[in-house]
Amino acid sequence: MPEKISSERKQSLVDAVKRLQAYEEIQNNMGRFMAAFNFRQADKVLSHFALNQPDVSLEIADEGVFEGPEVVRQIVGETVGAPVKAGEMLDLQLNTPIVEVARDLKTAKGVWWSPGGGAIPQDEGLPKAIWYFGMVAADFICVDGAWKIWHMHWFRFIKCSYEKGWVEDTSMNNRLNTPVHPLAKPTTYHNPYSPLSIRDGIPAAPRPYETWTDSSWMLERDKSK
Amino acid sequence: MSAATVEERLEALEKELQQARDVLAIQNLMGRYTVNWVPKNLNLQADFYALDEPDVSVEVGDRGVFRGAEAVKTLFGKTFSNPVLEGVLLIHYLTSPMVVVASDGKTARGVWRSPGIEAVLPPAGGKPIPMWSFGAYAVDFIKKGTEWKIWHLHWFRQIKCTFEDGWVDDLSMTSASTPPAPELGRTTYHNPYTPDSIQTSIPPCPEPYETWDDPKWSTVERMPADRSTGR
Repeated sequence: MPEKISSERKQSLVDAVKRLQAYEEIQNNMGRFMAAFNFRQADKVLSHFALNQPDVSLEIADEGVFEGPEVVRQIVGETVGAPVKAGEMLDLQLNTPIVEVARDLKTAKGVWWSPGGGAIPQDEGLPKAIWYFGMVAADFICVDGAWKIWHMHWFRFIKCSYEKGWVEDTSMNNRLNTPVHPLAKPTTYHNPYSPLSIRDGIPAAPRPYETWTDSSWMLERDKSK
Repeated sequence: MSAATVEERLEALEKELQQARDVLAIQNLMGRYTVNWVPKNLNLQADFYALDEPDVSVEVGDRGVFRGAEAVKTLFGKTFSNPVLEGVLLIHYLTSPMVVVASDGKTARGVWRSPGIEAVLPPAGGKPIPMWSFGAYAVDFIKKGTEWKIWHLHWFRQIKCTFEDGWVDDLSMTSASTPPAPELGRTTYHNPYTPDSIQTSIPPCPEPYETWDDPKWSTVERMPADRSTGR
């Protein structure tokens, strides 16, 4: 009589496959997200967010935290969805992926490093070429079988003139001295590179975990964990 | 269908899944290693290594081979220490991942191409100097229980130059400023870019393998006609 395969063993296999599929989907979706972001496709960018979650959020450098489905829709519409200008370019790429899918398969955490280049049209003359480097950390949640961005934080650490580089040009490190967006909550972390800055290793790399509790992992300084 | 066939198929599937999970775990390990590569945390880098292995090693450009637990700890705790943290930037991206886990599941090999940006303090003081630092990692990994550790790491430095002058005009850092200390192992390969250099495909993409047996795999150029058919 053939030995029966235990249900635990079967479930272990199923879970392993699901975890690998989740990793693949999250990686591909982040690629799609970044391409849409670069090409000012606001609707596509929004399609990657878990807009059914009341605490869905997007934190952008030192512009603040934008929390809630309608707030995320508005800020993405205003920024990504702004009219395209001739000569404008943003090419952010993703590398150094670190993705952990929770053991319960309901959520995931991911970090990518993102070097990039850009061109900012000027009122007169040629566009200004810039280096634009950052890191992105995100919580993901599985919604009706599809992985969506739940909380995302863009950690910009370099925005500088292409010619001058990141030591000479720190003029764009911080936001302009204008009122913050009325829908923004306070920034949780902004540490752009400057000759006076000390690097933190933040966002931290996610570690294996059972069940999602909060987003504090992104700012974890204790590297022994 | 017989029970033996079902069991064999299940075991094969479990092995394949474990290998796929190991690839991701290794990718994440290298990601954590890279995230931790900030001046104030460099002393912790030795924790990523299999320090219980007598031949654990790090080879960095033409600085020689740091072999053994004490040498690895010295590299990260002393050689690479930065007394001044402000203004130092060390960003080494991991791209083009190539990771192969041995059939026996005990070791793995990985190669990543790594463009990087830096800002380093000049010895004489003054403002940091922005730099380009490009190269490749070739790494042996070894599994300790359920956790992967770095066993041998070789940083193949290809470019190290100032941001301002670029890699054709600034060759001042193609080689180490001082010879490696005599107690270190001899550099096994160093072929940085210069206007006279000929580029090679080293380190190569690791090929599938059964059991770790070749410490020199990362310094041997593999031409398409030389490659095995693999699995």
